[in-house]
Amino acid sequence: MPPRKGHGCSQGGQPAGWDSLAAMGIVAGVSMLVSLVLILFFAPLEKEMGIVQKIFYVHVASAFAAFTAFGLTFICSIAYLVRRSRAYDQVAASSVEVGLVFCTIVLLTGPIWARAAWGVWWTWDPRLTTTLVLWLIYVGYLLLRASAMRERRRAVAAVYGIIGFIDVPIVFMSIRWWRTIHPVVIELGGIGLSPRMKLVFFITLLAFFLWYLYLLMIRWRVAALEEEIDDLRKRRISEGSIP
Amino acid sequence: MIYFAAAYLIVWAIFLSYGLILGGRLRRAERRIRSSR
Repeated sequence: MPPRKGHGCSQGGQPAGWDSLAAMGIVAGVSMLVSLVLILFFAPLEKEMGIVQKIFYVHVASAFAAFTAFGLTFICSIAYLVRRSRAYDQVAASSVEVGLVFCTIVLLTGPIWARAAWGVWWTWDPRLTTTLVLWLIYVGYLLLRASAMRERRRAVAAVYGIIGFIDVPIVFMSIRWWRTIHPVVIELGGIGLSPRMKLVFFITLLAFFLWYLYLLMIRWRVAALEEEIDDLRKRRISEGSIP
Repeated sequence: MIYFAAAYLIVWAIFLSYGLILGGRLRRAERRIRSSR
């Protein structure tokens, strides 16, 4: 599709229609309910921590969903700078917003688990600190998008989306690089969980991933529609039909 | 038990709130685009 005049970028791909959204909603919703039932009734109780350990499933799955979201923003930001397609910019921005929802869950469930396990709500541990920094970086991304000039907003946000992603591998590696009290569950040798815990963990990971995709599909549709409304309004102003 | 319940309530409350906000924005945008065309 040729570039649209006045925007300096092409329209690119289109967000999912109502049928795809409904189908994805059913798949993601059922997956989330299945994972919840498995966590409650199938996953065994951990010997030392008991039921509190079950926070682990949603805490880690949310972290992986957030990493995936920010990773997609990183890829789409590069793609936008190369192709100048609106769709990449819309997906990048949508993915940040959905990723922040998951990152917020990580930052809220973590302290609850920490209170039960360590006796404190928060400690300036490398993993906790880098995760808080990650959250702040992407809040900054959304603030930047809301404040930057329209013509340059997409390119500036894309550069920010690329640079901001640097913190994701730092968060992941922080418990391996520095001395920390945060547990290391996923190691090179495998995952330190019993077979039943491992099964529930992977199903929860998949469910959260599907839930992230579903939210992203809706958010992208909202972004595309809002831009279309904005374009229509601008066109009418330029044609003189709106004073 | 209280920590476990609090964590899961927070997770589902966040998903529900965000879902409602997103659904509202989508419906509003669809309505505005229909009336603009």
